Amino acid sequence: MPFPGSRADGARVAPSEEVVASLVRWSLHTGIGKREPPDEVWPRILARVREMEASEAVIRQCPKRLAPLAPLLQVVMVSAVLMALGLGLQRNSPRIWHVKAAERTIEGAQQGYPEDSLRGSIWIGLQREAPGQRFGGQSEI
Amino acid sequence: MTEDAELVARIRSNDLAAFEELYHKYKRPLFHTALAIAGDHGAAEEVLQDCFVRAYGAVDRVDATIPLSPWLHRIVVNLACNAATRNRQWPLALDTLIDRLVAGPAASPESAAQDGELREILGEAVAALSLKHRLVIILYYYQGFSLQEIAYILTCPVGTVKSRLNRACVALRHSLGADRRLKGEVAYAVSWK
Repeated sequence: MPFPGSRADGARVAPSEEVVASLVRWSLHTGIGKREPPDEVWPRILARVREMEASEAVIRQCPKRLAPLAPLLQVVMVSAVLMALGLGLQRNSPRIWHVKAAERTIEGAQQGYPEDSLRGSIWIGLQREAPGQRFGGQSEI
Repeated sequence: MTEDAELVARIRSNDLAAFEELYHKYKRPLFHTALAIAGDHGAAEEVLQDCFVRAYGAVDRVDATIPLSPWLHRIVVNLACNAATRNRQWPLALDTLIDRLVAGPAASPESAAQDGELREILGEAVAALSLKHRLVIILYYYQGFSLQEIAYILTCPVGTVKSRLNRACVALRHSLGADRRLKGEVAYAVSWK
């Protein structure tokens, strides 16, 4: 009986999906189907699980042992934090204040204009503004 | 209450005998999956060991109402893929496997030669697949998981599993169909041994 993937004229076509599936299934079953994990794997798992349980038990017991000391520990921790903060503030206490001298920023002031000339020009501009342009097109009064 | 649910309940109450029962129930399929992916006997042993240790640590979080096999396979697949990537042995995994399977019970020198040729062809075809395609091939054809279960194991949508399986099959069909060394009678006989 010819292989399903070959035709009578000798030309080859791809084997059907079923053939591929059975081939793969067969190869995997025959190859690894008979193989067993060694007997020493279970004792190793058991040892690791017991180790894990023991360490968990230690962690669970720790808070119980430390319970009477909890208030004392809290006080120590809080005072340590406060001391650290206090030391940090003291270290930074001699602060250097940078004071900048006031300088004129308007060129016009150096040229001899009065100090209020800028404010005055703004005020004049506001007066010239039409009432309809302010407050959404309504006059103030 | 299913058998798995009962075992999980006992394990949660620190019953190590129940955990041993669980190990003996699932050790073979998990070991075979690990072996097929990692390709190395020692690595597969390690993966199996790590899998059960992790399973014990996470037993409180598992949904005991559904079968445990997909959950355990999820752990094994992750660990075995890590091992395969770390050891860089993945491309040889199934080649070695096929070597062993075909070189095993050879009835006659003639059949041994035929098996050897088939081994070479299958090895090349399977080695050409990518890791994700090999995974679906192993889980679907060897372990017999459903598409939904494979989707859960690989943490991907069912549609992705379908397309990967389809592509893997197409690739295998093409490479086997195009291989002129594959004699029809040999392949046919072997496929139904």
